[in-house]
Amino acid sequence: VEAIMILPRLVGRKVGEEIDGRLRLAKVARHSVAKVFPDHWSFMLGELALYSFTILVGTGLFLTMFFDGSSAERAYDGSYGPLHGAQTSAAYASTVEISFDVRAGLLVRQVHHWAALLFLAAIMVHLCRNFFTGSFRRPRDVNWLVGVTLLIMATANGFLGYSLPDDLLSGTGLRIISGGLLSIPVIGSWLTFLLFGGPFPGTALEQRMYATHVLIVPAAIAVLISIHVVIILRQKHTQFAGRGRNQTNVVGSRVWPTYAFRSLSLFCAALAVCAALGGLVQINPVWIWGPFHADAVTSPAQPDWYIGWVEGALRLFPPWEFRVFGYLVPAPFWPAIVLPVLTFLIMYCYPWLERRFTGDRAEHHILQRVRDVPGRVAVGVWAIAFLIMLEIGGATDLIARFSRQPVIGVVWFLRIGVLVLPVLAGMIALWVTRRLRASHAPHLADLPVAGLRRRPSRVRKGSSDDIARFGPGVADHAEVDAEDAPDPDRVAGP
Amino acid sequence: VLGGIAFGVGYVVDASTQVLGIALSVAFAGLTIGFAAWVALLPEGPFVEEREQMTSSAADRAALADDLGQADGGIVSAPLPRRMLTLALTVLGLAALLPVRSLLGTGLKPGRSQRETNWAVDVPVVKEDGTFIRPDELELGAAVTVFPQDRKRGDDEAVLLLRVDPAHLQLPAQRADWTVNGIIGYSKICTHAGCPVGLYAQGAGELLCPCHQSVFDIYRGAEPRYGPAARPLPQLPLGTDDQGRLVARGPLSGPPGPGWWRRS
Repeated sequence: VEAIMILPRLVGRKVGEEIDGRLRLAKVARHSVAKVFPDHWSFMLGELALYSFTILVGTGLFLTMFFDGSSAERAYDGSYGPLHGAQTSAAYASTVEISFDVRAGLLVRQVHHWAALLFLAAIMVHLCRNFFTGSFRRPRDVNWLVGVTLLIMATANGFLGYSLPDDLLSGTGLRIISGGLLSIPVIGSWLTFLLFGGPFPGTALEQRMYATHVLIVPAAIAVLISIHVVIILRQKHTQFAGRGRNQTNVVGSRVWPTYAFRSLSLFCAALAVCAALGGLVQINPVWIWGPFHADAVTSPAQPDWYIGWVEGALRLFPPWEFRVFGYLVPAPFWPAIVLPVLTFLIMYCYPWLERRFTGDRAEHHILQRVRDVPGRVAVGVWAIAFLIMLEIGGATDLIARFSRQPVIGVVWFLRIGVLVLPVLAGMIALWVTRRLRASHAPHLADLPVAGLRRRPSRVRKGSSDDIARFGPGVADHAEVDAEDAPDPDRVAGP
Repeated sequence: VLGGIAFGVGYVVDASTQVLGIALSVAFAGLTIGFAAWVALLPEGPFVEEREQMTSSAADRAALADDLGQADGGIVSAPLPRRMLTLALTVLGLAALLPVRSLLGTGLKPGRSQRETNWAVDVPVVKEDGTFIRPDELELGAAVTVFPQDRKRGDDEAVLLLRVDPAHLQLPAQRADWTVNGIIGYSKICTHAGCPVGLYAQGAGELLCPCHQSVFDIYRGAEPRYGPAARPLPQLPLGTDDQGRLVARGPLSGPPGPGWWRRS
């Protein structure tokens, strides 16, 4: 029995030796596993996005085995009764078949959809973390660009995936996209006809979306993720200020074994959550929406949430159309085209905009606390509040239904709200962060200075860190000293 | 392990989605806790690793520039071959753009196809299933989606027929005879972003688009009342032929659907 137990280890060593005998990797590998990564829960958000992407690829591979990305008409003859014999596109019919006739098909389909939502949520929270802690400053501004591109790619592919089943809800979404593209001055018509292969809905769209969704964009995302990670490895991760931490080191845990297992744990947690959601919480039941017909529509009609802010803008933007030299600039151009382009453009440019404003061109490897830069917090909170208000605008019909108010009243309330409330939120954020900064005058970075006294509240926070890092003994020591003694860091420092 | 076994068994017996999901979730949750426990038992850091600044030294940069600039003995940096290469690549790049035109396929091109529909003088009005309509089929308050007998642009040509009390109608003077017994026809495609204007508030005399809540006044030529749409729904002039069937008496009053640059 013992011989069998030891066998995998022997084989593993043998394989390792064979590989090293050809590629001389031992030194490189040793260096990699000893790499130090700083410890903070918020540094795992990007990793969560990566694992969501892994789940998406895995479940997506399964779905491609059954999905028929074609707009050819055929009769549905699967086991879902109400649609029996209905003439639908092959795409729609095969989606319903995956849901009812493929074993575990509905589970995989729903896990795929939930993982996509998790992917986008993780990217957005990760982006907020990087924004508010100032990690986008030089030299990581270049990786910020890669990250924003990934967000755009993920949003686009999410929408493509949502559109593929050719159901009534997503077909209406595509119709709106075509309306938006048509509104682009000069090139709108040609661009729309080129993409759709003729006027909406066209016959080429489905297969083009399919190829883009399963091959082109995922390949681009994989390449961009690789670049994102290689840059992180090259530049090494940022860390929060703290004792023993400075611009020229990284303090944390090693890749092997701590981060290897921590990552695996996170991956399994993501899988567990997606599996539970996919199994228990219904998402996008296309058999209820029905197949797409351009002369029919569902109500209420909402897209997935990550695109809802554009939908909200379309609803709230006033009916302003004007002519330039006799040519029409239709109303959807501003909310459907200009707003998203401008939003992502500002996101791309933000590191350089802030640099212009602060004049700070130095290289930074220490993160800022959120409260350290009230101006940035105000801008960030304004932007988030603005997008949330637009998102709410995407649900005017639901709000009107549940509040029993006329839609037009809700629309006017939100039209004003989308302009006023974010500014208010930004001002409140500015006030709060300034107060916070003033009340905790000593920056974390300044703490190790001799003789500095900290307020009890800060010490409590610091000491819980100490427990994690140095064990209870040292932390007790810090607690005791905290009241009036010299700075505990002097005692507890490594 | 239990979760994994449960998933395997569940798959074999074709259990419900819920059972499979729970089994899989339990399996991965177990692994999550296992790995987390492993991490908790590991010796704690902190470990310290040195970090270099990102900018190379001036000497390294200069050395690289020298290597690139001189290693070829000046052949690569000579102007003539370099210009020839630039020209060749530019021409090739432009030539490679031409096949983009193929994306358009053999279908309709922008321009006239956006403006024109198959609605014209004496084109019979038919329902989704292709049957003709007589004016007396529609009761007061009825709403039905119709198409021209031959559909060129498929669903963009959809028209919504509404039977209203003629006394309420306040159409522009030149459209006074576009209705038959209070039956009025408007394009069903919203002029904002192109959704079907599928909600009919009969009491208020309004058509409402479910996508962005544009509201059109059916008594006044479907002028937008509020919401994001800026143009009225095009109206279809209606009449009857010698057999009493509903027909169009001309094209729609404008191109249906969302606006574009060259829309007149």
